[in-house]
Amino acid sequence: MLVFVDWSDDLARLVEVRDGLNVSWAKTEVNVYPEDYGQVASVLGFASANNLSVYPFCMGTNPVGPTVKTKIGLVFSRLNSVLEVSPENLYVSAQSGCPLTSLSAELDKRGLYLPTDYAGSMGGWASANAVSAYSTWYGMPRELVLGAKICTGDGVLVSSGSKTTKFSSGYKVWKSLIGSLGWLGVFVELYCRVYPKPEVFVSGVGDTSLLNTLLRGGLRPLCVWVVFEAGGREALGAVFGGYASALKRINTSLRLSEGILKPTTLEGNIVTVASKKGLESEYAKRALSVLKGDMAIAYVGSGVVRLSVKDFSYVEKARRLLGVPIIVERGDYNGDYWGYHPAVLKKLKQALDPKGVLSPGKFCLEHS
Amino acid sequence: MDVRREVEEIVGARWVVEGEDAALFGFDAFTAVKRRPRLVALPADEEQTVRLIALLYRSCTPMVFRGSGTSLSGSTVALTGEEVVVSLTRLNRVYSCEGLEIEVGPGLANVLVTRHAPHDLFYAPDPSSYSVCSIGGNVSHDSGGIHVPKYGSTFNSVVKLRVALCDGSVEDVGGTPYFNGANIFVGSEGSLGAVLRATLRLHPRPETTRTVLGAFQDVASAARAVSAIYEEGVIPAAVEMMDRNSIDVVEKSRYKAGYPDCAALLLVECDGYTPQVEEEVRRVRLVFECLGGEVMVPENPAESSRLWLGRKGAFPAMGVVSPAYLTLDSIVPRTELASVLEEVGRIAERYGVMVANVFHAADGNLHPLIPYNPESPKSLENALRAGWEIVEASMRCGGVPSGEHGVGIEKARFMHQYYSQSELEVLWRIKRAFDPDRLLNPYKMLYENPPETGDRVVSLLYTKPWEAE
Repeated sequence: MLVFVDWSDDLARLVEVRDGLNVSWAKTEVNVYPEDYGQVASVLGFASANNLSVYPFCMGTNPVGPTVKTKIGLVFSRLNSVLEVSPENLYVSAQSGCPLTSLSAELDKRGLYLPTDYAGSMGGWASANAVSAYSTWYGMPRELVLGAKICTGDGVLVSSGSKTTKFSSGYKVWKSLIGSLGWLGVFVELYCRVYPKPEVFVSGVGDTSLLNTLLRGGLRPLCVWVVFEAGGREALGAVFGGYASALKRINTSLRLSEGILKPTTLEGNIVTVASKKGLESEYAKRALSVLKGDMAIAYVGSGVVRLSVKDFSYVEKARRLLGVPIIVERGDYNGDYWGYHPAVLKKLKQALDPKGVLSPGKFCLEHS
Repeated sequence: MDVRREVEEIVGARWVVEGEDAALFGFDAFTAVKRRPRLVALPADEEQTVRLIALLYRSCTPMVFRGSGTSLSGSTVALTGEEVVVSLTRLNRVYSCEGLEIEVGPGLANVLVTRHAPHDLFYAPDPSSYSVCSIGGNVSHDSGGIHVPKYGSTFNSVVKLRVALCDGSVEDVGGTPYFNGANIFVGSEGSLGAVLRATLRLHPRPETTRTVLGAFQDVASAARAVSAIYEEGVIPAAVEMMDRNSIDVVEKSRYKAGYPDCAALLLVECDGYTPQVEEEVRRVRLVFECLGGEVMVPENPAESSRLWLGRKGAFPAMGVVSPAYLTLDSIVPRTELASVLEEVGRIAERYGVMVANVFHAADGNLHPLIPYNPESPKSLENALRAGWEIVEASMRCGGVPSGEHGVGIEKARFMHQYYSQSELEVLWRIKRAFDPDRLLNPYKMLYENPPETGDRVVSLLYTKPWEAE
C-alpha cells in the first residue's frame, strides 16, 4: 500500500510513485519510475528544491557500501533500451536501466561484445566501476565508457564525453561519476566501447607459477584471475580470445588444462583491496591472511582484489598493514566503509549535487 | 605584498625568469599566439610547488602550469600577461616502479617513462611530441598518439595522481575502483590544480609487432578499409592515414619514407601473440586488396621503422612548405571520415590553403595541418577561419572539437557551440569548486568574457561563432 507523505502528491504529478523499498541495502519511503530523461531531471530538481534525499538504483543486484535510507528511490528500470549499436564505429549506446543481458544479446547478433561478466544494469555497472575477469586486458567501466548523458543532483541534464574513442573537449564529468555509486550524479544514457567478438575463446586452468608468463610474456590473455582459499589452495584461470587457427595450441604450450576456473565472483561479506596493478596476487595473499578471509580473487592487471570474509574485525588492521585503500564492499560494518575521503570528492559533490540529496551517507559521512 | 620577492624566497633567485627571457615561456606549439608572462618560476620539488601555488593564490595572482610547452591548443600561454608561469620541468623524478605501475614527476618527458620501465614493459601513450612533451602536460590534455586504438589515451594509463590544490593542500587521488578523484584532473588543462606526481600503467611488450601499408587511389576506399579491418576481428595497435598532400610533404623532407604515389595510404600496426598477429596481418592485407589497395608488408624491423618515421615526421616535415602551421584535432565517428575529408578539401579550396591530412584514422581523429605565413596576419586569419570551418563540419557529423589536444585558447570559442548554456554552467560549477577566484589558467577551456589583450588574433579566437566579426 502506498504510504502518502506530504510531498509525495507533488512528486506524483511529475512521475509515477509507488511504495518504497525496505531491503538490507536500501530503505526508501517511496519509489519513482521515470520513463524519460526529463522525468529524471524533474525528480532530482524537485528533490533538490525540497531537500529530499534520493537513492538511485535499478536491479539491486550489486549493492556496494553502507545501507542508505532516503525519502525517494529513483528506479531506472523503465529506461531500459538499447538505443544504437554501431559495428563500424564499435560503440553501443543504451539507457542506464538496460540489463547487461539484453545488451549482450543485441551485441551478439552483430558479432560484438562488451567485455564484462557483470550481472545487472548498465548504470549499475558504470556506477560501481565493476571489475571482472575481463579487466586484465580491457580494463574497467572507467576505461570502457566513452561518454554519457548524466543528471546532476539538482536536475541538470548534461552530455559529457561522446561516442568517439577520445574526448578532450571539457571536463570529464561522466568519468567522475564512474565508480561514484550515484553519489555525485546519475547516468541516464551511456556510450560504451565494444569489441569484435573473437572467433574463439580458449580458457584454461593452471598453477600460479604461470602468472608472470601470462602477465608479462607478451601473450595478451583477455582474462587472468587467481583464486586463493584460506586453506592454502590456489589456482589460476586464463582466457584467450582470437582466431581459432592462432589459438589452437596456446593451452598446450602454456601447460594449462582446459576448463574454466570457478569462482569468478564472490558472495556474502565482501572486502575490496585496491592493490598495485600487476601485484594483485601478492596483495590477495597478504589480505587473505590479515583479514582472516575465506577466499580471495585477484583480478590480475586490474589493481583489484576481492575477498569474502566472515566479518570485518580486521579491516582497520589490514588498512594499516597493507597501506592501500581497503573498502567494505558488502555487509554490515560499524566502521568507515571506505577509509579514504579526499577533499577533491567533496568539491565535486559541491559542484554536482549542491544540496547533497543523492545517497547521503553513501560516501562521506558529512557533506560540506 | 611583493610577489616577486616571495617567489624568489621559495624557489631561489636563480629559478625566477622575467623580462625578455620570460618571453621564451610565452608560447607553445600553438604558435599563433605569443604573450610574455609576468614572471616564470621553476620550483625544484613538490614542496616548493605547493608553497608557490598557495602564495600566488593568496596574492590573487593568476598562474599557468607548464611543462615542455608542446601544447597544440595554446593552453600553456600566459594570455593576459598578468600570469605567473609555474614551470614544472624540474619535477622530473622517477619515484618507483613496481608491478605494472611507474610513479613519476610531471616534468618527466614521455619518452623517458618507457626508458625507466623494466625491459619487458612499456608506456603506451605516444603523442607526436613524445620525445619532449612532459607527463604533466599529457595528463592535463589527455594526450593520445598512434597507439590509442588498442591501448587507449593517457586517461587509460593514469592510475593515480598527486595534485596540489589552490589552497596549498595536496591530495593523492585515484587508485581505487570506486570514488576516483583523479578522473576529473585528466584533461582539465591545469584549470583545477597542478599535477605533482602521476602513477602510470605500463603494458607488457608484445611478443610480435608487424606493419602493413595500404596505398589507395581514393580517400573513400582508404576510409572504408579502416572499419573493414575491425569487421575482420582485427584489433590493430595503430591505424594511421596520410593523404596525398601529407605524403608529398614527407617525401620532400628528411623524413622521406619512399611511400607509393597514391591518394591516401594507411599504416597499420598489429601486435601481440605471434600466431594471432600473423593472422591479423593476413586479414588486413585481404581487406586492403579487396578495396583496391596496393599492399606492402615490410619483412624486417628496419623497413617498418622507415615507414613509421615518415608518419612520425609528417608534422615537422611541414617546414618544407611553410614556417608555421595550425594543427587541428577534431574527432568524428570512423564512418564519417570520408565525407568529412571531402568537406575539408572543399574548405581548403574555398580559403585557398593547402591542407595536409595525417591522422589517427582508427580513432576518427583528424589532424588537418594548415600552413600560414607567420609574418602575415591575413594569412594566419585565413588559416584560422578555414580551421574553424573544419571543426564545425566535424561537429555536424557527430564529432567533437578536440580528441587529444585540448581546448586551450585554440578551441575556446567552440565550447559555447558544443555545450548548452546549462551544461556550461555545470562545468563552471566544477571550476568554481576548485578555483573560486578563477586564477588557475584563466581563459583556457572556459571563459565568459573574452580577455582584453588588444591582440587581434586573441580577439578572433574568443569571438563566439554566432557573433558578428
